[in-house]
Amino acid sequence: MIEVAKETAMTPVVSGSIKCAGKAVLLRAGKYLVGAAILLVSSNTLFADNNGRFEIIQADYRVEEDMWVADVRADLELSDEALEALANSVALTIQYQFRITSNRWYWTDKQILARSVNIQLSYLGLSQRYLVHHLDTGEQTSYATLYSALRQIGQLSNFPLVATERLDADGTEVISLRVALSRDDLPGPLQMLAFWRGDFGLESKWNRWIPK
Amino acid sequence: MDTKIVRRRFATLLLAAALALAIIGLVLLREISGNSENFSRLYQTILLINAANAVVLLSLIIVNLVRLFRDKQKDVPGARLKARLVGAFVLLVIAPMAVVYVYSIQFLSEGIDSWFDVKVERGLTDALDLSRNALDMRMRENLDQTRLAADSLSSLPDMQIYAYLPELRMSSNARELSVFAGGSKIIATSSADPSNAIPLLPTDEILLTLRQQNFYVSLEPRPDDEYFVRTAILLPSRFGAEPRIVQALYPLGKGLGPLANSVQNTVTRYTELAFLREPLKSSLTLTLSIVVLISLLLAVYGAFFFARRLSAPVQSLVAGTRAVARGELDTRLPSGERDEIGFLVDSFNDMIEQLSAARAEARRSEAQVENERASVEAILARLSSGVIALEKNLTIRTSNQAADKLLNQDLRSQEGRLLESVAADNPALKKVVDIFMDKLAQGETDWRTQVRLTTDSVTRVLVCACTVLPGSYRSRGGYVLVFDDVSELLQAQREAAWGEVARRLAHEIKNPLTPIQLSAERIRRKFLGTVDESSSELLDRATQTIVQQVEAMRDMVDAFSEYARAPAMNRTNFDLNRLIRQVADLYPAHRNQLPIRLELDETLPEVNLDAVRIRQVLHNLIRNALEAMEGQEDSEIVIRSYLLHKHKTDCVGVSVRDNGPGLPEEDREKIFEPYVTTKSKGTGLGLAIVKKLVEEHGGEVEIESELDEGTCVTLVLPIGKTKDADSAVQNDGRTRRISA
Repeated sequence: MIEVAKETAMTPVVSGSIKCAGKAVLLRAGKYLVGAAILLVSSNTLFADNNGRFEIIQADYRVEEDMWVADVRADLELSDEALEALANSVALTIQYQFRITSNRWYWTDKQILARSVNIQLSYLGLSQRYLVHHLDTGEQTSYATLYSALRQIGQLSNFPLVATERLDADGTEVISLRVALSRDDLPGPLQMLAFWRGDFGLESKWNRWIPK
Repeated sequence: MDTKIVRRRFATLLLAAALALAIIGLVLLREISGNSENFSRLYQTILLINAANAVVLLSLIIVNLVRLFRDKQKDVPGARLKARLVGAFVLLVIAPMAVVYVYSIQFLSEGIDSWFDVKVERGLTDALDLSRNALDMRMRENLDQTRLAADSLSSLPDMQIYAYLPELRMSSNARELSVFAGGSKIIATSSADPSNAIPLLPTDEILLTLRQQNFYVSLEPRPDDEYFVRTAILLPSRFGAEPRIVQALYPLGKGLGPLANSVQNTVTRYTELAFLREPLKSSLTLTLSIVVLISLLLAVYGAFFFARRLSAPVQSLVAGTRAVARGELDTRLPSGERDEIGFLVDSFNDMIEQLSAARAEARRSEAQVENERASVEAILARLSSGVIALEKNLTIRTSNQAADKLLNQDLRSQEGRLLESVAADNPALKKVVDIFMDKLAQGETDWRTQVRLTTDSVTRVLVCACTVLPGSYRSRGGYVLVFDDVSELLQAQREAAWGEVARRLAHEIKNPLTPIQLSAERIRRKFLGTVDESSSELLDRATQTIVQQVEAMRDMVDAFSEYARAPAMNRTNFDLNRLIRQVADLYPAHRNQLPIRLELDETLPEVNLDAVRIRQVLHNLIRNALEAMEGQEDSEIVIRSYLLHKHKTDCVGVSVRDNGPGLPEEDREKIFEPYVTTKSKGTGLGLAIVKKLVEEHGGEVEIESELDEGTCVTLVLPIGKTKDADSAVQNDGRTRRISA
């Protein structure tokens, strides 16, 4: 039986990358401080019309040949800034992030596995086609339209996630998934802006599923 | 530990932390600026470091600013200097930094903009268009070739297609030629690559396009950075079977392929760069701003730090100077750096050291002078000689008790006043001052003279000496007048001389008197009966005269002998009033003389005196008074006794007053000298003996006299040790003078 549970917010179980409250406060303060400077530098794209949207439509997990296999369907819509960057030959990397954690009542959750699927989307001016390049497998396909390319990226089929033997499937483990635009793979100057601005902060909510 | 030290160490620690954070932050910032792969890994850390650094530095600056403001409000030494230094440093730092910042931003912006050229951009666009056109032609050619092949295959059954397809592929120069039924059913395929058994299936996009326009052509990239042209033709359906799709893949070839790839890469790179131009500017501006902000904060704090370092010695010097001004000469400043300020601090310490030593020396000298002055004052106070020290302007600098007594003037309360003005109301002092002024007018400043002064009816002979006090090289030190009462000395000398005379008289005159008297009596006895009556009368009268005169001379010699004789003093306690009555009773009234009137103080205590001597004194005084009033009608003698306190000693006063003719003024001074008398008879030793005996008891004799009014001789005798006194003291024979 497959259960899909959608989280309404970032849960501490899976998100826990920022755990120190003081660090968060300082970081936020620093953001505000330098953010003011950024506002002065570039404010033309601050209020964009299309903010984009990444959403997991469906995530199915099944066991196939001693492997937990995932089939994911996502709805991907790029923001105007991302579209502009793409049109200007900036390659965007869309990332499926899987986290498998084990719940511990006495301590923070134990991370069993962290995997990601990296798909690069780029626009080729010469052929006027969108190239979808699976960075992990090297497979690439091109599409005449962005819609086709995003639709193809939004479908992840038969992705071998983890060997069944690594999971107890006793209800204490959680598979979390989200799809996001990777800011780490943006060119340096864009990374800095993306850090302060939400234009490239495209990511879906965490999708949780408890294997049994 | 001192709070100030703890605070300073804490501030130093914070500063060190800020510096370390700044260095780490800047190094990391440089790292991510050059390598975007590290960005996401380091950027948050860098932000945290820089934010913490900015907070630390801002805190330090605010604390220093508040402290500086507070110090300035409280007018702490050196605060204004520190404020000026901080202001100057900050200005010196901010101005060039702002210029550098603005120019750097401008340089960055212009530098980045200079990477992009409109012509280059247009060229690239043209190259891209050209490439597209060239590729379009190629794609049309390939589509035509595919169309021809499709036409050839359209009438063939599937089996023949399979056999004919390789030849057809080779003739059309296709890399792969395949025929599909429907969407994905492979009817036949032929590929130039034998390993590629499965043909590339038509995508949904191809199928959709074919449904719309019967053909499809596109330029597609391959994973090996090559391009190929994919064409597809939809064959019409035959005999109700599924429609066939002829798909061909054409390589661009060695000529066009690399060129297309190169154009694509270049355009991609340039377009990306052009797009990233503004973000690049922003990120570099942000990086530079952070660097400048941190540097600015460091510089501002550095301004405080160096201003404090520079002003601290000055502050210390000001505080030290204020302390020294308050008289705290034990103030020492901590030695600073070996620079000019350090040298100044050392010099200040040396100066204070010397000042302190000089003040200690001055205090020692002052104490020494004070001691010496006290010694001199003590000596002066106990000197029997009177001393008056005068300033150069003849004001009184100091004087002693003896001077007050000798001159009968409270000179010590007149210090600072002109001597002449003080002497105006005092005849005795005026006499001395006149002599002094005369001598001074004559240019004599070192002189000695004898002056006879009368104060309170007491005549004193003073030896007055003057000398110049030593002064500094600029001014003379004034004058000192010394008075010595030599009255007693002169009296003693006179008494000694008279004593010697008396002894000689007794010795030289008394011896021949007896033979003279005996010879006269023998002559009288032998010749009185033998001569005639007239001669006998003459002889009798002559011998009688000789005997009487010899007797008189013997009496005189005895008196002289008595004057010269000084038997041991025999003090006893007795009632003086009783003695006075006994003596007075010996002089009953006769003829025109009234009886001696006694006015005795009955409360008089017993006195410890030599009763024999006092008795003789009283006899001499009464006899002297009687002789003075001889022949006078209603002559009267009044003897009065009373208690008095003189020279801090309990004394009895005994006055013998007569209403005789009195003494002329010139005789009053000499009346107590031997052999001085105003009477027709008498030896002239009576009052001299009185004075001698009274002084032997430590007393004083004073005489007051007015012509035709009478004379009053007053004895002042110390009561001496009586019943309660130590008998040893009573009988030691020594005399305590009341004038001592």
